[in-house]
Amino acid sequence: MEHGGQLFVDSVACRYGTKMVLSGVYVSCRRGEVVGLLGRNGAGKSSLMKVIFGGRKAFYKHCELDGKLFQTGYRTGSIAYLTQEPLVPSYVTVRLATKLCVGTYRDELLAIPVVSENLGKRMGALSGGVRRVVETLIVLYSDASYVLLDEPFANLAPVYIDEINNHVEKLRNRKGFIITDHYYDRIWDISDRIVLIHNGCNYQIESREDLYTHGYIPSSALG
Amino acid sequence: MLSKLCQVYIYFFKSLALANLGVSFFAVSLVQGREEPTDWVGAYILVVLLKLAGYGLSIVIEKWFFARHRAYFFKNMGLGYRHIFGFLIGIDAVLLVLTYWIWNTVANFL
Repeated sequence: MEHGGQLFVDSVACRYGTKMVLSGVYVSCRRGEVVGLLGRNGAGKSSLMKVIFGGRKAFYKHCELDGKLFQTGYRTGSIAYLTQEPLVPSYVTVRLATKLCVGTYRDELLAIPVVSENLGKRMGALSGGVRRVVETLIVLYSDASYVLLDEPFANLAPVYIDEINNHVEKLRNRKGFIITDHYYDRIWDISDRIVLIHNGCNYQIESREDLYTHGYIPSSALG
Repeated sequence: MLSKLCQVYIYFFKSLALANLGVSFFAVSLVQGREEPTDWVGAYILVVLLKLAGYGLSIVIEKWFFARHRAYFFKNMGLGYRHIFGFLIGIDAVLLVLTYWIWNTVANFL
């Protein structure tokens, strides 16, 4: 079966010791699409992203990028990944980080105030929130065609979450995005479709009731 | 990729590169200063061991202490540690040859 023009990952099996975290997980993302990835803590969302990116070995996986098989995502040069932890070393300046990671869209990135105002500063000198926003923007504006964002909204002020969502919207026609975060309302708003990782498997989510059914949100969250 | 490797080399591995260059100078000075080659076997072995220890230690330090902070940063540039250390070792070999050549040229000129 052909899976051209998309990031296609199938049959991902991943385990920590004897515990199987992911078993036969499937996820795909086309350019121009935003896929929201939800799941409880420890469900395997970050592991799935790391497996796709090539930062973690899987017991088994089948990965295709625009119809071509790949083993290690970062080596394709078409997949970028924002880690949960700080991505850019503390002693690296914002200018250097943008220079090393961003090519085609560098002028657009440098036109963003939160980036341009902090160009000369080291990442470690920025506040936690601003650092997260700058790192997220660097990954968003990288040359990659597919962007994996692991909890980009963690510890961010609502105004910054809106800013990141605006940039995702702006870049949507050029790239594909897989985003995971526990601010599921924000993920719901921006995503074209939602995938829930639960019990090591993936479930296509059509409504918020589905999230409740699979035990991701409490009944009180249904309103 | 080559330009990114060069940038990573310059910005993140200066100390390792300088240390290896120092060992290369030592190796070249040994070769140039010898009179009885057989007397210097121990020194040559020392050079090889210094190089191996340098790289071994660097890889261990990188993987144990720095990987958590910068492995994904490098990977977002499309570079894994195999690329980076492969490049470092390759450049080191080139620098060793260059050091030897420059030393000879200068010695002949003088």
